[in-house]
Amino acid sequence: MGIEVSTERPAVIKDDKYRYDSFKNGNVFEGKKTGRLPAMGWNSWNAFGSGNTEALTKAMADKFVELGLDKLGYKYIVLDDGCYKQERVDGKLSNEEVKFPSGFRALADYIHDKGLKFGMYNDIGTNLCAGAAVGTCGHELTDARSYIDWGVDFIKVDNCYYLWDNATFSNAENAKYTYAPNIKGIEVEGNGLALKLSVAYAELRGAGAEIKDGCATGIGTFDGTGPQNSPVGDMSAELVFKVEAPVDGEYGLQIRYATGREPGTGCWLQIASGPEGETKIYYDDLVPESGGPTELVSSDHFMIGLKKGENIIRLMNHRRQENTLCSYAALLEAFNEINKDHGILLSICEWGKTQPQNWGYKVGDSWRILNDITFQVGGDGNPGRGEWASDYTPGVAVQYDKAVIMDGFAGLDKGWNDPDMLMIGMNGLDMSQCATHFAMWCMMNSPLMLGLDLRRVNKGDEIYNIIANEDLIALNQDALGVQAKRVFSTLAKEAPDKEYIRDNNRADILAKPLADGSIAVSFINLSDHTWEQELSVSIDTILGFIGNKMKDKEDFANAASYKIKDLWSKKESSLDAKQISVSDIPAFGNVTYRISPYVG
Amino acid sequence: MSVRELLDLLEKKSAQPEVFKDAFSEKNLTACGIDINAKELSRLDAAILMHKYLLEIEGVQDLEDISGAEVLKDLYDCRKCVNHIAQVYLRGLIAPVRYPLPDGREILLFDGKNLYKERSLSCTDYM
Repeated sequence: MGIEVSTERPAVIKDDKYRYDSFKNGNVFEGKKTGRLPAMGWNSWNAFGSGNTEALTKAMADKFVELGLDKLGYKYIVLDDGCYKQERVDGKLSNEEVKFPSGFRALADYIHDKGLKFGMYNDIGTNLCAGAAVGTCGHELTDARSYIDWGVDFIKVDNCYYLWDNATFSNAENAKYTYAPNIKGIEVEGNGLALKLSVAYAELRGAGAEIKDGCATGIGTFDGTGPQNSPVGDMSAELVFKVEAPVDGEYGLQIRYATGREPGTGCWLQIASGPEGETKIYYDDLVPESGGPTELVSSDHFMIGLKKGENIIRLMNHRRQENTLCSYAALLEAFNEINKDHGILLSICEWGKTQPQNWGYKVGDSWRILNDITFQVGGDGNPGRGEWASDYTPGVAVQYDKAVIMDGFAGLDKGWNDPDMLMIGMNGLDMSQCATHFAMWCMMNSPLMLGLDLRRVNKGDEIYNIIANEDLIALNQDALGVQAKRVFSTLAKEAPDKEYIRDNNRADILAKPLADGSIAVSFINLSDHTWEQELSVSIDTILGFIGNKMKDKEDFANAASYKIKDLWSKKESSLDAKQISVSDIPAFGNVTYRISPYVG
Repeated sequence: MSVRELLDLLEKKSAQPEVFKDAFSEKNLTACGIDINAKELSRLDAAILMHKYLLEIEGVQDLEDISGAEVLKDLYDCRKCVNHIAQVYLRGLIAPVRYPLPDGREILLFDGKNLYKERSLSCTDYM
């Protein structure tokens, strides 16, 4: 039985597969396909924003074929926001008639007739980000039927106007669903046990919470939309009390708490108890509000189960992640119900807010890791503008800085980190930056969604030579399906593959194993000046990081020499040493090699 | 002020009334998500309309560097409006809202309805 979502309240979770405690079990939900490589295609947003039209979309499809992009692996043509009517018609989605006069089925047919695939956009909230009141929330089955009827192959699903989080355009007070109340202490009684424990006797596990004025606060999942925090490690916190129970049985739990409706202090509490590693959920709902984050009240008695001996009582709120997972799962399950073999690719776009690297693999093929890569999108006749770096999420380097240490979350059995659509061809980025942008995305197995007006591209021009670089695309689409690992950074202190580094005055080295036993190595200069110093990495160092993912690690390690191909200049050379070195990388530039052991 | 009242003002300023009528037709505005009959003009809709006017009627190119608008602490709350807000704010066409904090400081907002108060943002954003 699937999850039931509504606009009335967060989903009632009856199956543990939707819960936080299942996030690490590696199981994907029914209908989620594994074994898929990153999606390649074109998305309308960076190119045309809400101004995309049927005519423009057809022109892009025509250009796909004219440029031969389809032969290079690009296949999805995706309509982003701005294509629907502002309201549902008879409860259904329908096309905005000025911009898409022929309807979506006709457009899908046009695209399919060219051998391409058709993608669309929606949102798990009540409205789309551009405002149309046609979000999927509560309409999953109806919308799934429409998408299947229209022949949709790909769906990007946003997170604006989400009812159970303080997402973009949502009620800011929705934070009440995403954090537990501030907690002062607990009382446990029953079966001869009577304990009164303050938070001084508890343990704060995970990250993001703290003890303040004698109360635990910040119990929830912190927001990953902005670039402030590392994506690696704990993303949420729990308050955990240890209790010794005299016998197996039911016990009363009373909690001293204060509620709020703001990040850090909410109203939703989850209580689990039992021996460590075997806890069971006993409460998962709002608690009566106290009157404010400093107004403490005592709860009624919650009944919990304890086993004889040592137990833990977990006070927590993982609903920020669980609710979002449930909403995406509801859409996937609706597709399954209409056609269990649907195969529609689900692109999760909740901007990293609920740390989807932890749960996205269960339902989606990729998950955005941050807010948008640019907010200066183009229009017909306006290329829009991208940046290399910024203090917030716009910028190639900002998205890269986060994605480059997220390889542990990606794979053929999971899906792909999505640092957003490509900005190649937009104003603001020079060709060196565009080439490095492309090399980064290829090395990181990121979806390759072009975001420019393809009418400005001609075969053999600078932009074409970047987006049509078959050697780079081959890395992204390599059958082994392993995201590159950062094996060296000039600014890393100890662990280049895990440290979140945001200072761009540096150079990185990435390495990626490939299906034929080769590896790809990319030397990336993120700085605005030529990196004159030699950058060097040994084969041993590389194998230390990626050897466990390689097909023939020993063959590679023991090779007497290697063939090296520069994937930009196409020059080939031999390497007899066990060290690979590069120097004088231009500002924002990269050198990317495919390195293969010579056989025999 | 209503949406139509702002449109009337802009139309009077326009030297190309026919181009204006087409660009700001009800159909086109509906396609942009703007209710032409709205009795109250929101600050976001005003930003969208004024930016559209600059681009399509006056032919004014966008300012390339919009980082100066990051003083508006809710700039990124409306992901799809960021450039509209930034362009009209940086040109001085729409003033920010000053929002007082409990400790006596104040922050600048464009709209303020959806201000994020995440702990992770508070250290830097409320400075």
